[in-house]
Amino acid sequence: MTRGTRTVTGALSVAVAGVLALAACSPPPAADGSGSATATGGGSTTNALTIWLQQKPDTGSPLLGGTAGNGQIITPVLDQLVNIAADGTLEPRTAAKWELSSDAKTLTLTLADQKWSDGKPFTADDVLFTLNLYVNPAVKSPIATVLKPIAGYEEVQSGAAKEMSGVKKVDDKTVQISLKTPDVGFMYTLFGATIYILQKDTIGKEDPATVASSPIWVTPGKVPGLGPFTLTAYSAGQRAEFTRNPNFRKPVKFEKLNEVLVTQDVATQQMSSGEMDLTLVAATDVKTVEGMQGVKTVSNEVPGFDRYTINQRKAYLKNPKVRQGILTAIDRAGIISSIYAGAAKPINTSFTSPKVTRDGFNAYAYDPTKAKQLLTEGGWDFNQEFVIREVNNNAQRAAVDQVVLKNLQDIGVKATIKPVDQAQLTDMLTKGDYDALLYGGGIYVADPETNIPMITCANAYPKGANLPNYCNPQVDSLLAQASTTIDEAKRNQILTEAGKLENADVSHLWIAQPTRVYAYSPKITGGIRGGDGMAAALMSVQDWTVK
Amino acid sequence: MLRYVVTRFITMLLVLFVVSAALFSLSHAAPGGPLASLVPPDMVGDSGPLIEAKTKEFGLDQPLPVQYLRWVSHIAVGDLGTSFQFNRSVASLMLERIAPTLELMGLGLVIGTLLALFLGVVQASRKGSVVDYGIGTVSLVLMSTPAFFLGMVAIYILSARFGLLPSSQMSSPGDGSTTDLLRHLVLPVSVLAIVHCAVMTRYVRVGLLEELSSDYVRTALAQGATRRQARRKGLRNTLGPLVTVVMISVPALLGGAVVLEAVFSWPGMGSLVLAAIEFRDYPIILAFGMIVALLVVLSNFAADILVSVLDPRVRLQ
Repeated sequence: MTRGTRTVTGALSVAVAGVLALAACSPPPAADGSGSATATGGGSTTNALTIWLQQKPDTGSPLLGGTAGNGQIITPVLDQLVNIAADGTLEPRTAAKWELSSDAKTLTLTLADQKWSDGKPFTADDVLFTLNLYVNPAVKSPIATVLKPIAGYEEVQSGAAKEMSGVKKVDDKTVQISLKTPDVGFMYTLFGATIYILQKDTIGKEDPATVASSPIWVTPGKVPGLGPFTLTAYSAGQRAEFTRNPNFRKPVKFEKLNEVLVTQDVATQQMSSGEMDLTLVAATDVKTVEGMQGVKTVSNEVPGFDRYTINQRKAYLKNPKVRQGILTAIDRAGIISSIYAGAAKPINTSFTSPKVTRDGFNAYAYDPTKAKQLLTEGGWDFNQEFVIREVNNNAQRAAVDQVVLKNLQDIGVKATIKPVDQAQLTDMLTKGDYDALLYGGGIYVADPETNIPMITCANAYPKGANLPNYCNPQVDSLLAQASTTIDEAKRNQILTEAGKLENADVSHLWIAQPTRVYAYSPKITGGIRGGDGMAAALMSVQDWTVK
Repeated sequence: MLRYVVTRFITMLLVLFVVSAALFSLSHAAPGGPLASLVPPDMVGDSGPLIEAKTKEFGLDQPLPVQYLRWVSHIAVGDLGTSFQFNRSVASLMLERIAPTLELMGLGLVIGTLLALFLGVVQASRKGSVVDYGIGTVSLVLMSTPAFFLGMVAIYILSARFGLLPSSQMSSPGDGSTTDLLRHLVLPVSVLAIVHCAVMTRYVRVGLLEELSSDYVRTALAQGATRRQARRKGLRNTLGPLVTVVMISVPALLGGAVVLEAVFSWPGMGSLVLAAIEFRDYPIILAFGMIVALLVVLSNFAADILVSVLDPRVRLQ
């Protein structure tokens, strides 16, 4: 063989090897074991939409505490009883109607007339099964405590009973929930929780001890749902593909939905290249997106808010005057106009529901001189370090931290920022190794009863969700009174009183109630209603119109 | 040769053992743990039984030495364990992701090296010319530029600005045809290849120039060989050291691929491991660490063998 031939042969060998390698390498296989996580056929059509997968899902389990990623995998397939929209209104889902009795002890649900995605009828048996499954101690669902007010809850938890006596089937389409004590706000807590209705026939066959972490939740074809789609392909931590469920109450107008996990700025950039059809847009990118040809936006206030938990387990943060001083030192109007790009509303209480009248609440307007005075009156030691912990996965919150740091340092507070990994967060909160931590979320706009877990003494962290360990027995007493007050006007008055006390106490360092902006491609012509996150936007998917 | 192979094999095992112990201790010493990501902080109070059950399931209730021995005994027989976050075998997760990473890394390495050979030869044969200085300057600039920045610039120009190529992932949803795969490959492979080529070009140039100034080349030219023939001879002798450099750079390339996988949302091992680190998913972190360690020791071993094959003067002992 001549040298020239050897050279050509060598080059050809490399080329052939390269092509073989390329042919062998394809996207990671789907959970259904098929060779590709993508559908066969040509490129995306107007019959398929691609949306941003906001966070990496893991188990996709509706029985475990919801992360945004898991929520976005679950929401297309499963459905809840009722959805609390971003403006606080209640939207019927699998429960078409609901009625609270005049003594606030019985909630009656009339179920929607629909079938499961596998064609089986949806009945009250499925609702009973679901509620009892969440409460089953073998399942160990952290969401179970939402159902605590229901009669028979303790008996199931202790193992004395298999089902809650307070959940009854009246007929195939009617469920009655009886509470231990009157509770006007219970239904808002129930509807606001991520409780997804599961099919008794299929999920009933799973072992309760392992069902919560079972791989069935991300395996196509394993879980029948009442949602608008069925899961057809799933690539762990990367992408999920769904196909329209023809048995949904109002079938969606397009065949396929793809959710793709990329960073938010990549998703925003892909709006201009046409690779993405819907994404949440960072406040500072809204102007850029509005300049993209054909791309439209829709926005809404979120039902929660951004705030600092301020650690009241520390003696030097117990005095309300200290917390008032720190809040007054923060230029929240400046934060809203710069970091939120004006897309947020200032708040001065955790009670964001319109049932609480906020006239006369202290506005804690930015005033460095007054802030310093309040801190001095509160006995603040200006040699004391004030540690702001920052979770390293949110650019907007990091920017807010920087402003707060500067504001506090300007009035002489020895503020400092210490970063913390997501994986360290629980340890840090449990040990109380922080002074302030910025976080957000929640669904509080429908009814102030939904605030109870975050501000009452009995829910002080780590026992409950009251992260700052705020405790005012008077507030607790008023909230308990409001729970059993049937007269709406009187109830609202009591709630307003509680709100006033909480405003004066500064239970949290409230920053803002953000407005979320969603950008959508020309393929979508309307019908999108947002919320707080991509999963919330999917609640309106049956109303989306496409070209 | 056999004695050399056996000795090297035993040394490799010792190295891997030390690395495994260090990897295990360091990963468990990092603050936080996998249970923190199981439930949001505001649900921790209601999650006692779940956290207790998961602690037992993950084996985290055992003392560290016991956990280590259990892990080593499994990994020695190829059982990489079960992922804490995905509840699937680590081996299956890695098999899914290794092909995209090898594709990215492999193509980047091959194309980068071939390009470096070409450019290095061009530089060496036109030493001191505008071409030589031009290529040298460009390679220096590219060497100094982080790969992730190059990636972002490439995405901005070719995807966002001109819409010529897709910006992320391996394929488009609903597609997956060969054309689609190729289009998605272009940007990340090009960036990786360019970065690798920039480094390798200098090695080729220096190595070839050294060979071209040797006595045997001068003799060959004096005996009537053409400059092209002399270059070919010189290049052959340059390949030995170059192979060593290429093999040693394979683990570094894997590191570069991890960064680029984040930039291009490439569904490879890099993105899997980054997520595992955030979650403190120890089985994935440890499996990846051991694979990299294995890659390093095998690359070094392969380099030694290849050099002795290419250069008969080198004897392995």
